[in-house]
Amino acid sequence: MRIHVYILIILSLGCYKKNAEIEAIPIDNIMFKTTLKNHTPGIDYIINKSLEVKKQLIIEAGVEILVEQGCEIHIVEEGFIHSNGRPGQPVVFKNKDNTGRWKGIFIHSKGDNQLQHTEIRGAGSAGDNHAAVEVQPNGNLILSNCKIENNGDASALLITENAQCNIAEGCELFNNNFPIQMDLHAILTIGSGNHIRDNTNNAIKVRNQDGSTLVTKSDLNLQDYGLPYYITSWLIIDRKKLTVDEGVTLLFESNAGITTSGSIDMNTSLMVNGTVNNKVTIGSFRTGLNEEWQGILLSCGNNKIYHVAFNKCNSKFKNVAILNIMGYAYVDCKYCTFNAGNPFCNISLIGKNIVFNADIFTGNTFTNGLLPCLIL
Amino acid sequence: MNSIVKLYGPTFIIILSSNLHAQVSTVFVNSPYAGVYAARINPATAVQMKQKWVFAPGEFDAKIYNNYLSTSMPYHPYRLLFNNYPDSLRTKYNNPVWRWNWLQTSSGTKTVSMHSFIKISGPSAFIKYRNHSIGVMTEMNFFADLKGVPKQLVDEFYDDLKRGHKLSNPEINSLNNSQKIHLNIKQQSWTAIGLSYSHLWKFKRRKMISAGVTYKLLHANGGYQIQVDADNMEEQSDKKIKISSPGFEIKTMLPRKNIFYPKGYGGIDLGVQYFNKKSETGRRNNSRKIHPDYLFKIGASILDIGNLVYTRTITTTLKSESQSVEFPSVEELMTWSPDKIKDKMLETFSEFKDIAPETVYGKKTKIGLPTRFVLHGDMQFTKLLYLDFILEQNLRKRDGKNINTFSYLTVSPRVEKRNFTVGLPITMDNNYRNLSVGFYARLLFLYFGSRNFIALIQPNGKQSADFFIGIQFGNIPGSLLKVKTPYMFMKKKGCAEF
Repeated sequence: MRIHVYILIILSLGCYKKNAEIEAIPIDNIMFKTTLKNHTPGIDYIINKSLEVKKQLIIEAGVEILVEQGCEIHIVEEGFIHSNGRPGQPVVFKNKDNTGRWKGIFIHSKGDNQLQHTEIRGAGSAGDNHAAVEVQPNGNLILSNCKIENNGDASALLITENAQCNIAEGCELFNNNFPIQMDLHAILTIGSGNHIRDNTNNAIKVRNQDGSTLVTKSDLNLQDYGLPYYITSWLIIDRKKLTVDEGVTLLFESNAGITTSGSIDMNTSLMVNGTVNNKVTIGSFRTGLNEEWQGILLSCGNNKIYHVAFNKCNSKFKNVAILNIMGYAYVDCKYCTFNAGNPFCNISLIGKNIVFNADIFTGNTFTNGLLPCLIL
Repeated sequence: MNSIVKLYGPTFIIILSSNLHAQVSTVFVNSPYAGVYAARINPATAVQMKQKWVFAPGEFDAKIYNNYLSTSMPYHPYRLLFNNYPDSLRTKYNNPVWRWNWLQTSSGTKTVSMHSFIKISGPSAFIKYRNHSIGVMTEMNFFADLKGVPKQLVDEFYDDLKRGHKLSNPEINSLNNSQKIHLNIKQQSWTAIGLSYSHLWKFKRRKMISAGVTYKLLHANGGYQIQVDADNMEEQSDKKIKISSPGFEIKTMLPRKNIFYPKGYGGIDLGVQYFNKKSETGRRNNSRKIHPDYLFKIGASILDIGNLVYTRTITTTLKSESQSVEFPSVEELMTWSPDKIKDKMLETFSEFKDIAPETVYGKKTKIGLPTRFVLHGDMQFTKLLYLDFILEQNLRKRDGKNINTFSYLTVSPRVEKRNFTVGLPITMDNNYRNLSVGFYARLLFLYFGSRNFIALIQPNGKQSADFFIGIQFGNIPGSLLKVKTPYMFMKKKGCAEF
């Protein structure tokens, strides 16, 4: 009888599965078209040094990849990635443990990069102003049904100038610092059915990756993706058109706001297209005392501001208002609500050369009761 | 030191990595005292062995073959062993000298093949109870095979070694044009724990049939395979050749760390044996002592059915149109590590045009175990003299990724007593191509022998050297498990004797 027990024990060894990283295969730089298959119930692959993907990388459903501390994945110009997870069989990129974060995936190629049903977590070792997935200049990425979570002080996604990122559908971005960080001229598209929640800051952070000031280099349109935009510095409209769509919320860093550039150019334009049912909101990102935004300064161009709720700005002088029209600016502003504190101006109309709509005094709501200040 | 490594290292590897095929000990399959040895070849024999139990702490079994190099020494190796060789062949330190002309190369081959198979077994144990037998066997196997290296390339390499320590570049112009290339290098290592059961059925007139099965839990320890194919090669310049339709595949198989995974895979041995005793064998009046144990027995088995399964495999393949390839210098090549050689090969191929190289990680790969069919039989002529045969036929294709062995037929007369066996196996070896004469013996617990005894003392590239040695205990005196002596050997006088 005892011998049968021993036989059963030995046979049971053959049925023993262990979901551990010991079976992981280390991955070298991708020199050829490469396919990663799901070969074990646990972690399939390990990246223990920075990885360069120089050709097509295909990751099959169910693959788990462990990335060691500080390591990063670069999809260089010649390469591209297809992460082909499926429902119930996601592709997973994760860190070894909670302390050892990896850097993230950096997409430099404009090839057909696609992440489907892919989970990315434990990245962001580079901290703030970086992300778990960074689409570098001219890069291109489409995400669908992806989950990007727990990336510490970093954002889930970072899209740099001229890079394109399409968050197509079903993506979940949570427990990150920001769900999305983008350069001013990044091309972002967010489809329906995405869930962006429980991040430290549920906003789209707008900051140029190189730290430069946010200046419009081409006509720019800020669309409503259901998240406020957090503008980290002055937003300078320089001889281009900035359009803000209905429903958008713009939250500015302390002492920052919107201004036109110094040059007088009538191509400069600020178009804020709020509607009765879908107003635009402009205000401060921070909520502390004296941390308010700085307001809007328009000195040129044709500007239209409709249906906007303006929050209080940091006015040090009575005449410095939320909306300051000066120089050669043309302004058509109505249906807006201004919320400057007492005794500060809501709108300051400065100089002889400005043009503004006649009903600017009556067509807007001023919560402190102060009509626009005329300063000649 | 470097030059010595360069000079002797490859030669040593070439000699040792020749065709080596384990389970040389198959010559023992017909001996009723073979115990574990016989059970490895036919699980059905375990229930018919003489011992009630056996325990084998360890065995070593190896076979080596190559078709390129052989030694032709001015004295037999045994002189080296006993320090008995001429003064003219001594160095100033009184050691034997080594000369290149002692090595001879084969002229009758176009491609060089090497093959090796080593088995280290034990501990293993079998116990018999009435008509049942159960056992546990353990073994480690190492297999390496190299096939299809153009002989010209090896010749030039070898000539460089002989010329001195300075290695020149290969002279590719000696390669025949329009030569087809099919190079296949493979290596495998695996461990097995076998659980064996056999059963004996007794019939009228002292006929018996036994059947047995051994299930082996396998753990693949790792392996690789390199395959290079090309339609023909054409010289273009001193170091450059044009290869038509080159194809290349390198497969690295990493072992599972989690032992015996994936589940459900293992190897199986199946066997049957028929045992024919003369009806007078057990009678007291068998005074002629002919066929005291049996008239004959015959058995058949199929061994190593199954596959090694790798899930941690890295495969790189590429195929291309005709390409020109530049070879590195041999000097440079010798300084490279295997990893660097691999990287350089991949780099070279990556520069090819019209090529679609592809790497796949984690593809499940099955490597067929060396499945073979064994037919064996034994006839007893007198109380001590037997004549047996064993035919082993490889059932795996020789090309490709599977592990294979050589087929052979052995006929062996033997003399056997309870504590002593000696036999002289005559074998048609290496797929029935070479005739060899061997020797094996058993002295109490010690088993040793060779199927090609001559090759051990005078190695010859055309024939394989092989060797096995092992220790096996059984029936240590004691009342509990003591074997019952057959009545006819009890020295009791029967009523019918006068």
